Amino acid sequence: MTKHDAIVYVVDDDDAIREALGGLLRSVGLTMIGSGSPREFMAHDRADAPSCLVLDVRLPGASGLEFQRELAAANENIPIIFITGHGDIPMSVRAMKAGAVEFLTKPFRDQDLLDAIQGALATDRARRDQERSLSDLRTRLASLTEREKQVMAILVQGHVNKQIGAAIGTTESTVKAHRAQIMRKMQAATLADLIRMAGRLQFGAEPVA
Amino acid sequence: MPLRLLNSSAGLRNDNQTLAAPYALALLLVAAALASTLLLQTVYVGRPPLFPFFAAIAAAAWFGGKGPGYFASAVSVPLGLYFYVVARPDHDLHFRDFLLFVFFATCAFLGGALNSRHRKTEDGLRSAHRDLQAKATELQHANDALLAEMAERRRTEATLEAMRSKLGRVMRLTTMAEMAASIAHEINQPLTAIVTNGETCVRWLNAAEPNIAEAQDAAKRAVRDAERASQVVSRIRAMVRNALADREQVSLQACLDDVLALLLADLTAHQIEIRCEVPPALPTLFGDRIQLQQVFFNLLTNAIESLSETTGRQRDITISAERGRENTVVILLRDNGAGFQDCEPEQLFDSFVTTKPSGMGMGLSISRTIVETHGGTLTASRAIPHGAAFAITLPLSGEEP
Ligand SMILES: Nc1ncnc2c1ncn2[C@@H]1O[C@H](COP(=O)(O)OP(=O)(O)O)[C@@H](O)[C@H]1O
Ligand SMILES: [Mg+2]
Repeated sequence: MTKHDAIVYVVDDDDAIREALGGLLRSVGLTMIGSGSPREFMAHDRADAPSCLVLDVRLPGASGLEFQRELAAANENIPIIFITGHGDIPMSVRAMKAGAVEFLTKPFRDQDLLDAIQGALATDRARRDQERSLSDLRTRLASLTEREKQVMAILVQGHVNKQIGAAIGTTESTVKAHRAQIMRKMQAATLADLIRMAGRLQFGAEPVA
Repeated sequence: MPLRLLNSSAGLRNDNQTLAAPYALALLLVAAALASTLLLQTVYVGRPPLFPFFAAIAAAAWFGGKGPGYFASAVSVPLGLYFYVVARPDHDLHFRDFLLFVFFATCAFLGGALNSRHRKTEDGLRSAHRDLQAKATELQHANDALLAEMAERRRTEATLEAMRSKLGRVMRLTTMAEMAASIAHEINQPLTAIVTNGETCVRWLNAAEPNIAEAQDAAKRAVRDAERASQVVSRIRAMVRNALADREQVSLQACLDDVLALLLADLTAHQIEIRCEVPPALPTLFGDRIQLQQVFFNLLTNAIESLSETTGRQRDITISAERGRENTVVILLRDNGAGFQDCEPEQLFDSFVTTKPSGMGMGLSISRTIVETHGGTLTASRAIPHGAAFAITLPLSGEEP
């Protein structure tokens, strides 16, 4: 994965700051999309790439902290780096408690901002990977037949083929065939793999039909 | 109006009560005259003089008026007849006895009439006087009410005026703090851009393959932002120049009095004793009264905030002023609060330096700027044994108050 498929969003009402940040990020090969206001930011189509948001605390209209709350309420998980005119400790504590990655005082050192951005992008990348693999797993699970799901539910509870056969009223060899299909479709190498996948999918937590 | 009503009803009650009393009094007086005449008769050779009756008639007419006067005369006349005609000492009835009796009777009636007339005039005068007095009292009451109302209105107006000017001052003080914060923000924005652009420029130049075009772009942006910052600075300069236009003769005492009045509630609430000693003959300062008040307001607010956390000793603030060198005044503000503790006093004058959870850290910085634009200095030192001390030196304008 190269740096280019990461995007840094900057929301600051000051054109000069947006331009300066754009220049700095270009010098390290990062793509920046700048907005003058939260509204403008929300109007953008967001690229499907690891990203983070550099947000000025002092914004016309809603404050950066309010916007942070709005994003959280809208289930937007983008990591936020706050930049602020002066170091207000209680404010930064509030921002950090609400999940901000970093709180930088203007003027900041370029390296501090770049480190914060790299950290935020890494966090977002990991979250996206997690989300992606989870949605992969869901697709795989969806490809199972009802019968196979039934078998898998009992299987991941640690029962052997014979017990499963008795439970669903079929022969041991039929169970064995189902089991091979399940392992193939779920792309699980071992039973331990399958159990882990079921855990992530929270499969089996709900009653099986 | 209720007053007059009360008066007349009192008079009425009086009349009713004394309706019969004057006649009884007349009778009593005549009886007393008779008794004294009889008493005189025992020691007097010949016919006793009948003066006591005149006295009784006169008194009855005087106290009781016309009716009782005539009544006393009427009772006295037969008694006179008795003494002149019946009980005469010699046994012969002379014409002169009759004459004396007639003379007595005439005098008795005349005395009663004259006296009662006099009494009536006197009464008229007295009642007129009473009426006049009642009117005067009524007027006095009305006057008092009016005065009280005027005093009340003046008080209300004074309170309103005090509130208005307090509000005005507080608003100006707040706007100044806000203005300073917004100036700091306006300088800080281009500064941030300059720093970032400068660093970017260095990055392009330091790259394995230096990118001169990008480096130039970044440097140009830095220059442009620096120009913007310098515009902000000239705007502030212009603002200070405008502020200079507001300068006037300011009395230090009046200036301090105004600020202390504004802080009185706080000082009282925290049981802080304040001593303020300014030499009475100190010449005036030349400056912006509101700005100078702002300096004292900031310093005193800090002292109050520090003292409000101080326990175990009487909380004191002392303000003193004395003439310094070369026509200056040195104003010392001292408190016996916790003091600066580990902080270097000089550092506290920087913007946004605060040790308070919700402090802004602008108070001392603004104060120093104001004092310096007035051609003075503001310094801090530790007070012995506890507390903080601030010294303000300001030039005097040379005009005696
Ligand atoms: N009279 C004082 N006693 C003790 N500390 C003081 C006093 N005056 C100022 N200070 C210190 O200086 C700091 C800066 O003061 P100031 O500039 O007025 O900002 P703020 O009051 O908002 O903190 C205060 O936070 C406090 O630590
Ligand atoms: Mg203060």
